[in-house]
Amino acid sequence: MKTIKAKNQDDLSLLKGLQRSDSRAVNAIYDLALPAVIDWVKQNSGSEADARDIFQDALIALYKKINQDNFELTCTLKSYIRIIARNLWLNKLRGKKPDKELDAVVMNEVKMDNDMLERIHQSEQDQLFYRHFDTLGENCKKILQLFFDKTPLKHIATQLDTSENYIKKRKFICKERLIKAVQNDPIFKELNQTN
Amino acid sequence: MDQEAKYEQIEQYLAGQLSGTSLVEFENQLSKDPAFAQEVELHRNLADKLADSDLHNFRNTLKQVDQKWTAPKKQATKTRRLFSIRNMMAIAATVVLIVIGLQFIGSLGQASNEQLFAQHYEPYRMLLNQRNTNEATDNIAVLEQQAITLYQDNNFKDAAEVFGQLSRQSVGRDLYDLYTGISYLSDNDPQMTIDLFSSLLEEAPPVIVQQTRWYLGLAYLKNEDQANAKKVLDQIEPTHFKYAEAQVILSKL
Repeated sequence: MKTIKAKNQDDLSLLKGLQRSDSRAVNAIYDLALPAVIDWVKQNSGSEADARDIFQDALIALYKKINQDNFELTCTLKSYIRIIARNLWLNKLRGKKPDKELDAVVMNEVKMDNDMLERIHQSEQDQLFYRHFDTLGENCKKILQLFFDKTPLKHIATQLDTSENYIKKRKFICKERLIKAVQNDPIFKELNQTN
Repeated sequence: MDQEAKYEQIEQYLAGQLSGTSLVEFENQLSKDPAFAQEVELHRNLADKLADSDLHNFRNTLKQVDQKWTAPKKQATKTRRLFSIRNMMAIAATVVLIVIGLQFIGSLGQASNEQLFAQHYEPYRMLLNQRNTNEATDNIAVLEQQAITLYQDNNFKDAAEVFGQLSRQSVGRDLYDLYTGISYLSDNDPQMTIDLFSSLLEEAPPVIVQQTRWYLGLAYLKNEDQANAKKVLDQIEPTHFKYAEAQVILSKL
């Protein structure tokens, strides 16, 4: 497990809980940071639902960061999460219409390391994949997850108590459905035009 | 190359399992065809992002917390109570009893999803022609005969398998996909039908779409997914396949 450092012991406990996907830590982080994110997003052309979506994206980015790299928190956890969420929301708003005032706000944000900024930039595509993956049936999700995790088809078949041929066919149908859904999403087309 | 074979080749490439002339040809295509390169990149990105089971578990935890979380209540200012708590509870209890009563009365006329499915489902009639044995010289024709026979003998599990093979090998695969999905449904595997027909509905010609919509609605019903069953059956138009039966089912859902 990657190491975490924080100035504040409470923040350190929450980050370690987040690293382990502990629901109590996640709940405490919601109580700590989400109300401020909701207020800010609502003041900036968004709704509570938008704020909650962005907040989840922020926590996913942070979860991936602390599980893939050693991490040192140099401000409070509440501030750090707010900044991630604000950057995510501003990226989304800029996608809808360019705004020089919003650009100026972003320039004044507390700097984060390049890796975290890159994760925020990739977040929109990641969320696109997760969103369409979530619409698949449970068996589809299970088969694809095992397949992407490089589990051999015959082992997947054994786990699901069926034949390898059936899994092969099912895997293709599920993957085709996922790929078509992603390719037909306007956000995917937009992201690919930008790149 | 059919779609399934293309996917297999892409997966082999990403796993480093292509070699020799196959690898050379694949890489040539990557460099000459930007759309294909983008598709391969999508396969790669999906595998990278969706492989992490710990992340999936975390996302599930996040969803569960999000669903239950409510903002902490702000300090309430004192207000005069118009109703006592006792009166409010009495009213609430009465409302609950009335709602339960109405639901019970309503449920007396309602069939279960399983019953509705059984009352309205039958496999679609076979439109493909059985050929004379002498005519069946190529592989597709042989498979097609085999699939038709299996389907008509109600051996739907094997029919699904053979129609599936026909889908992969033939250019005009919509009809084969239709019978594949119906075979799975007849073999009590509605989820497979749902996965197959959800894609088919977007790209099949209008005649196949009508049958696909009807059987997709039934598959959702069999899968105890009333919301999606209603949504799909509601899209069947008055002049289309099984409109009247769809209306009967919708009136009972």
